[in-house]
Formats: sequence, structure tokens, C-alpha cells
Amino acid sequence: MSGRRRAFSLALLLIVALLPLGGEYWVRVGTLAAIQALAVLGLYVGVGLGRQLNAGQSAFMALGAYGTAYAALKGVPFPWTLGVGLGASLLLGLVAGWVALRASGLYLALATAGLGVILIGVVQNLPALGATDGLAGIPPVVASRIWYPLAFGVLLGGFLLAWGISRSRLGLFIYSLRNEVALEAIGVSPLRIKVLAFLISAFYGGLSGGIFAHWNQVVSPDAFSFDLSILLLVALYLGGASSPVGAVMGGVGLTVLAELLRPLGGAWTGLVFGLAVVAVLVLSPGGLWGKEEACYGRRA
Amino acid sequence: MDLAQLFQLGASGLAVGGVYALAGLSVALVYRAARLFHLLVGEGLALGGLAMAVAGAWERGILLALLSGLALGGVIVLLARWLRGREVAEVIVAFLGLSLALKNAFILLFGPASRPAPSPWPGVWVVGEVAVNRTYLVVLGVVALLVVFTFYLLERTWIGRRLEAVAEDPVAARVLGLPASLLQGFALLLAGVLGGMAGALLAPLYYASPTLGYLLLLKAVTAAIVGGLLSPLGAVVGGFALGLAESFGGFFASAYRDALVFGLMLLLLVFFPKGVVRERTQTRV
Repeated sequence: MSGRRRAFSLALLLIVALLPLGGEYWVRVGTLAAIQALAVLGLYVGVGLGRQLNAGQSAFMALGAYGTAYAALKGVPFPWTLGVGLGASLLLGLVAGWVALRASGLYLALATAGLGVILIGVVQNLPALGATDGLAGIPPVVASRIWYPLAFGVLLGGFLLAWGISRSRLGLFIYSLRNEVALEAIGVSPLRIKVLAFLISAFYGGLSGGIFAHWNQVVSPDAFSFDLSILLLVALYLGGASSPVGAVMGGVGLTVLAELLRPLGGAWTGLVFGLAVVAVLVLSPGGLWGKEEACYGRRA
Repeated sequence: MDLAQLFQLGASGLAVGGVYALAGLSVALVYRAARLFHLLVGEGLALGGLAMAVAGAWERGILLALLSGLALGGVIVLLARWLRGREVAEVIVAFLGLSLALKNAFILLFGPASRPAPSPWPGVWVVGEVAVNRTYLVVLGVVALLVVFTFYLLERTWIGRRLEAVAEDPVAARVLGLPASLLQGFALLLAGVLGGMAGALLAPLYYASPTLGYLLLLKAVTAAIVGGLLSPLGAVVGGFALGLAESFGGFFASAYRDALVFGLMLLLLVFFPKGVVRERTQTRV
């Protein structure tokens, strides 16, 4: 990593370490940052590595959150609740993977966005899931301040997994989805790799949503809007789509900066991040952390 | 469903469908001219609608919407220039990012609330048992004018022929001395204006709101996909079909109206990615 990037990373890590000193409020912000960064890591594997555009990551989070919440309210004990959420999210991952077999680029982005909009539309009309009010009273399992190190622990695990995937054969195959003919030429089915890439994205999204449900104790449809999907994509590309470090930094940075902008009004967050991603893509296409980490370009 | 209801649903479906047709036409124009996905079309429609609502009188509203559409077209021209030669994913994320920024800028400028917009010809037109909102007729009339104008421009004028050449092969067109960038810029500006006008027409039918953009984006692109993104005619047909489907589908299951439209979009994306209505490539040039 270059000096400038290392300085950025150190500054962000320092912020994460010092956040609890700011009191209860910043502990909550930090936990949310870890949860959202986990969802961005999922996008890193699918979009950053595999170029399988996913404009519906918030839908995977929603399924993880609703599955977990529903199970918890039905009396399922804690770690298994996450399993229910993950199961729901992975099912959607299968569907999205199947769509990806037939659509790519813009069409895939639209299809995943459409899946998200349909899903939220259905949830808003299901009384069993609380309709527009959502589900409340989900048991927090541990105290709010314990969730902070816990969420960052899961994020660290997720980061190591994503990093490992990017260095593995599977990662190489996912990367090679850019050239499906080459994959077929060496006897690997691009279809299976596509579905796997979506399942991994769904796993991260579902886990992120499940943790969110327990930590926040309330899940509602408007927490998983299309805006969130876009913000997560923006976070990935701000941080750098070709590196798991960029994904984590983008996800954490997004949440913390959004909190800093909140006093100005909610709309400023979208305005600033939207313009920032355009500026970064035009001026520094690899993202703020991306270029150096481009994993296969260097070796090839 | 009795006859009067049938007429009303049909009329509202056609009017809203006309708006989608213009929006879809805008998407198809941009893709055809510059192989670029016009992901700002939703914000263009939202802006046109807000212009109509803010202006007070509809005459001024139309003018404002026209200008705002032109400005948005200019933004696409700039962004297309800056992102030339980039990966598809990066271009899409940049456009989505800008649409997010624009939406929030509209919220800051105009406030988050929906606003009513004036109709150029308010009231109801009654024939026997059937009562049709006059605004529908105005919208359909203006849509027809704009569609005919655009097709005339594309099919019957020297600008259209040169645009066709650039759409077929921009490099070859440039080699032959055609000002490809200028022509592409013209197409993008025209697309911006069509989007702005579509928004101005939609506002009196529903309302104007800064947060309508994404839904309208998905609907506009759905309309354009009916023509495989490339065919202006397909986009117009797709827009009307979408409007009618939404109108009648909403009658039977109003809560799932949007979900129904996006289900249609998914089917199109997965099973008819090259479009349903296709044109033979013209080889006049």
C-alpha cells in the first residue's frame, strides 16, 4: 500500500478504535458501520471480483433481517435465528444467480433492483411480517455495547473470508467471469461460478441483516430501500471495488460519514455520496483503496 | 368491471403509458446514439414534474420542464465524455450515484413532500355513461405530437440519417467526416428534453415528487427493453403496454401494482433480453 492509502486506513481504524469514547451514540454508529461494511464485502465478491452487478443487496439484507426477526419472535433460540435469516437470503441468492445466468451488465443490475423492489413491496403487504410497520421486540441477545466488538469481530472474519476467496481458485474463477469463454475453455462452468458468486453475496447480505435485526430489535421495510442498495454499491466503488480492504473502508466510511452529515439533514448524505462516487470514478477509477490491491492484474 | 370502468382504466392506462413511452423513447435514443444507459431518466422525469408543480401556471411549467430536460441532457453529455472507455459496471455505478445525488438535491431544493401540479385542461369529459378525465386527453395529444416529431426527425431528416450512421458505427461515421460527438450530443439533449416533457405530463396525472425517480427509471427502462433498448418504436409500444398493464393490474391488486410491473420487467429481462418489438436495421446510409 502506498503511504497515502496507509495513512487513510490507519486514520479509519483509529476512528473505529476511538468511537466508543464518544459514548453510547457513537457505539451504535460504529456497530451499524460494521454491519453495513459486511454487506459491502458481499458486494465485493459478487460485483468487485466477479462484475456481476447487484443493485439489490438491500433485499438480501432484508431477507436476512426478516428471517431472523420472524424466527426470534417465534421462539427460536439465538444463533439458529441467524440460520433462518441466512437460509432465506441464500434462497434469494439462488434466484438472483439463476437470473444472472441469463442476464448480465445493465440487465442484471435492473433485475436485481427489480427483485429488491418486488420483495419490499410484498413484505409491506404481509400482515405476518408486520406490513409497513415491520417487526418489533426482537430479543437483543447481548447488551448494545457488546454488539460493537461482536459486529467488528464478524466483520473481521468476513474480511478474512473474502480475502481468502480472492486468493483462492474459486476467487480466480469468479474473477474470470469477465471472460466466460476462457472459463469454459479450461473446463469450468461459468454458470456454476455465477450462482456461487451470488450465494456468497447473499451470505454476507443475510448475515449482515440478521445481526442488524438482533442489534436494532426492530426491522421495517423502509430500512432496506433501493437507496440502501445504491449506497452500498457506492460505498464499494468509493473504497475500491477490486479490494476487500476497499470494501470494508467504503462500508465503514459510508456509515460514519453519513452520521457526521446527519445534523445537516438526511438528504445531504445521498447528495454528497452520489457526487463523491462520480468524482472518484472520473478522477481515480480504482477507488480510494483499490488500485494497489487489484489481485490478479499484478501477477498476470 | 362495467363498460365505464373499462374505459376509465383504459384511458388512464393510455395516458400514463404515453408518459412511459416518452421516457422509454428517451432511454432508447441515448442507448442507440451513444451505447450508454440513460439511468438518469427517472430523475429527469421527477425534475420535469417538479418544474410543472413549482411554476404555478402550466404554460410556464412546460417551458421550465423543457429547460430542465435540456440541462439534464447536458449533464449526460458531460458524464459520457468523462467516462468514455470505462467498464460497464463503473459507468452504471456512476450514473446510479449521480441519480442518488440528484434525487437528494431535489429533496433539498423542493422539500420532500409531493406537490400537486396544474392541469392544462381540468375537468371531466362525459359521453353517455363514460366520464374521462380531460387531462388524459391533453397528455395523450402532447405525447402523440412529441412521438411523431421524434420519429419524423429520426426517419425523414438529414439529422436522423446522420444519427443512424453514428448509431451503426461511430468510428466509421467519424472517418467519413460526420461530426459524431456533435450528433451524439444532439441525441442526448433530445433525450433529456423528452424525459423532462414526460415528467411535466405525468405530474398533473399523479403529483410531482422528488422521490419518484427510481420507480420511473425502472419503468422507463422496462419500456425500452420491450424494444431491446435499440428500437424507438419498441420503446413506444412498450411504454403504452406497460401503462395499460399497470392500470388494469392495479385495478385487480392495487397493493401489488409496482410489484406486478417489476415482475413483468424481470420476465422481459430474463426471457426477451433482445426485446419483443424489433426493427430491421435500416441500411439507408
